[in-house]
Amino acid sequence: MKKVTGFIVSLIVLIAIILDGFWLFFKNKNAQTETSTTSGTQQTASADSTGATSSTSSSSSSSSSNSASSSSSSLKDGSYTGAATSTQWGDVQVQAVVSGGKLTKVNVLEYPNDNGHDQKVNSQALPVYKKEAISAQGADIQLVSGASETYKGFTGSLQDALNQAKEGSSDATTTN
Amino acid sequence: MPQQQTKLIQAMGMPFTVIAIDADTAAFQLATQQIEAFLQQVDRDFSPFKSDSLVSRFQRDELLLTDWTPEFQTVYGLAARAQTATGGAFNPYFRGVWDPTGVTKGWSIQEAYNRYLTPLLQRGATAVALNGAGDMQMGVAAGSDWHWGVGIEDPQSSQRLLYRYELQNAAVATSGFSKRGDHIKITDATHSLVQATILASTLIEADVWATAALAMGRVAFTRAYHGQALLVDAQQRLITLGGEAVA
Repeated sequence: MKKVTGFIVSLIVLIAIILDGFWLFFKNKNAQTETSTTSGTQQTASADSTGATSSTSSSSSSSSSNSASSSSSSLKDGSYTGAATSTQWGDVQVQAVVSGGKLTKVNVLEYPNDNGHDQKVNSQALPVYKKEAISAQGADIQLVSGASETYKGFTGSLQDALNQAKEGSSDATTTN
Repeated sequence: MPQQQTKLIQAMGMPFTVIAIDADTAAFQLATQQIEAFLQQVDRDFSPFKSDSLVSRFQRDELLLTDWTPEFQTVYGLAARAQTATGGAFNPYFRGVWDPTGVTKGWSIQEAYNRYLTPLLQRGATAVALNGAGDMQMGVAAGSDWHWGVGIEDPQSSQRLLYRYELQNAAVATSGFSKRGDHIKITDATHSLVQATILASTLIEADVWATAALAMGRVAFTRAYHGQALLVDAQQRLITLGGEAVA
């Protein structure tokens, strides 16, 4: 009787070891090959998305779980819906439709927000001069809004001049 | 005397000015480094000029579902939403292929501001602002009486200002034909505008409507948009919308 119990116990231990080995090596390997086949050449992209996910987690925690689930099941047919992003015009969600293992369609789900314009700009708009041009140096101005686009054109612009003037007059820690 | 810290960052071929008032120096420097890294990442992912960017790969139909980062989903959704909100005046397909550049800039400034500058306001700073090539998001600490002085450039000369606003928590975007007219199609030539400045609470909205205003012209724009704006028409007249008298 003692021998039989001993045999059964060692059999259970053996099975446990085999199962453990299976989970540890086979399953893990499986998971690894799956991700490497799906992301293959996109090594950088997947690294980017994890970095980005961790930094967006403060604004939408659901986005990380969403992107994780969509990446592991990229080859299965179906539709995958991303995290909702709230915008001035309501929530926006992107839905990807996969068929035959390929991305075939992208839908943008929209949930319009009727009171979009009710959000007040916390601002006071004060017209100072109307027809005559005002000088940036004379008026109390820190920021300049304009249609200028390029970095090259920035040198000598009003914002550049303001930045430099502040640098010279205070103990600002400006480094370029 | 408030202490102003300023940092100029070059990214995406554009100048970005970060300004903080009375911020901790180390915290400010860290924030500017984070903003710079974020903007470089946005450039890698969304530049239509980089062949391996997510946008370029999407255009070539090569973007895998696994590559749809949360940021890409957001920008894709914003571009679609901006198109419907402006009745098609804002069009991500204006070049024939999908190109979200019109929302990428506004979104990246707003996102960088929210992620890296607003925390400074909770840690003692009086005011923070991020100005990317003339489009900006700004804010002040709760209860502060600080106002940002925001000058609006004269479309005839970038050395002159047309207008000055005093703002606390707001976004300002200006679009004009003086320098970047090539990507906007005019739908109403008789009431055309040469420059449009939009004030809104978020830069994405301000930026999209500034672009849409130029495409729509004065009449269609004033019918569609009910927020604050400063327009300059082809006769160089200033038009203020949203509670301001016409100058």
